[in-house]
Amino acid sequence: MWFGLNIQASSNPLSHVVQHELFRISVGGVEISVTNHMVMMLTAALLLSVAIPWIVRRRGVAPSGFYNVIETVCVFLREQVARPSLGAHTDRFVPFLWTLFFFILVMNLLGMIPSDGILLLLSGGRLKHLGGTATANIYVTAALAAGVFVMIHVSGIREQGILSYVKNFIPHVPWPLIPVMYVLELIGALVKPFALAIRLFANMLAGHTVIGALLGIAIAAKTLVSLSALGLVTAAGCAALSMLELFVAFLQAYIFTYLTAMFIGAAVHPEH
Amino acid sequence: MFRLIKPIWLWGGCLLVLSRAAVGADEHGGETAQVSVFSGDMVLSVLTLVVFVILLAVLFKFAWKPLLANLQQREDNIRRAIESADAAQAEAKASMEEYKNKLAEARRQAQEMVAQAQRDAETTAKKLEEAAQAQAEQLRRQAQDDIARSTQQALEALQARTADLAADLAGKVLKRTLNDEEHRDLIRQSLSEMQKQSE
Repeated sequence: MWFGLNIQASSNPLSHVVQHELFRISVGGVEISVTNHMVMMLTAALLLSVAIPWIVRRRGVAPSGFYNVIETVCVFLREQVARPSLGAHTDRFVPFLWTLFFFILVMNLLGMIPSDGILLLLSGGRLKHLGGTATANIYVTAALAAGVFVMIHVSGIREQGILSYVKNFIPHVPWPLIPVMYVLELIGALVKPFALAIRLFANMLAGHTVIGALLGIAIAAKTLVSLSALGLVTAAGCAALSMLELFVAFLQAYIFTYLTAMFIGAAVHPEH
Repeated sequence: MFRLIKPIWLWGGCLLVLSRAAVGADEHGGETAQVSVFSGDMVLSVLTLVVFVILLAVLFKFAWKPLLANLQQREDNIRRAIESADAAQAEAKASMEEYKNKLAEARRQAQEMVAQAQRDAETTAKKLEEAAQAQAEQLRRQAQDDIARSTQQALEALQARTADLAADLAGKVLKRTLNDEEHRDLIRQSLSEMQKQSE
């Protein structure tokens, strides 16, 4: 029985959330370490690229079934998130925002499924680390934020033209302030995606670390009796925190998308 | 229903806790290397971007484009439905106005026709009355003339008869036959006497 495992001391709660190498592959002589976060991200992408087209295939003028869920989310993002910032440009950018939202959301939600633990138990300890929250990795969130950064400025330049975009990059100020404003706005332009990346990363990391720490309390129990007593407390705590985490998973995906829409809106509408 | 759900929750919850604990236990038993929250490398970042771009392309082609088209079509349908409803309402209002006007016009015409008919009837009645009066007058006058003529004829006949009678009578009385000359004198005399009497 699994309880026979040697449980001695608390494990590091961070080990739940950090990246773990699964195996190494060699691509053209370069060794690449394949990690659980890569797998989770690919799983999310695969899941989305199969599920959403399959669901949307069954659309109709009067929506029904699970298509309703997807459409409700999409309509909300289009009308309440994108349109206030993007106005007439909404339908040009909304596929990008939808993809961003669902990609982040599914990565967040996949992190809520303890597939690593389940597979570990089912495989008798052979399959390790096949789970985790890809969005709790700064390299993932930073890449998404970099994509958003490119999207913001490319769409701004495409909409206004390069000269006009550079000219409208700063607000109208007296001329001696212009160099200062350019420095400030450049910093601002870099801080925006940086904040996006850190916000998502920190939120996902923190939530899962707290859950990990709570479980660590149970692991720390020296005896089976205290394990079962503490187990009840930690299980209840984990359930409550997991619900919070489910909410955070949606909230962070929403915030990321919302801010992206705002930033793109500001870039394509120079008057703001 | 709850009977089924309850054990699922219970065992599911147990499995979750155990699986989490299993990971914790396993990690404790395994590597004890320093863990950094910033674990990862640029390969992951590049992969993320590539995957995101591919996902965007796939979803755009197979999901977002048809979904967006569906939404836009629905919006168009709703907009068109509202527009046509507005148009129908305006049309109905216009028709109502037209029918009201037509009805008022018809009523006015009907009233006019009735009035005209009344006027015509009055005129006809007057004409008939006048014609009847004229005819009656004519009849009356004709009757008077007839009476007058008949009276005159009767008088003349009477005069002639009276003369003959008088002549016969006188001849008988005198027992003699008058010659023509005497006869004529006698008639003339009698006639003038009769005329005097009748005047």
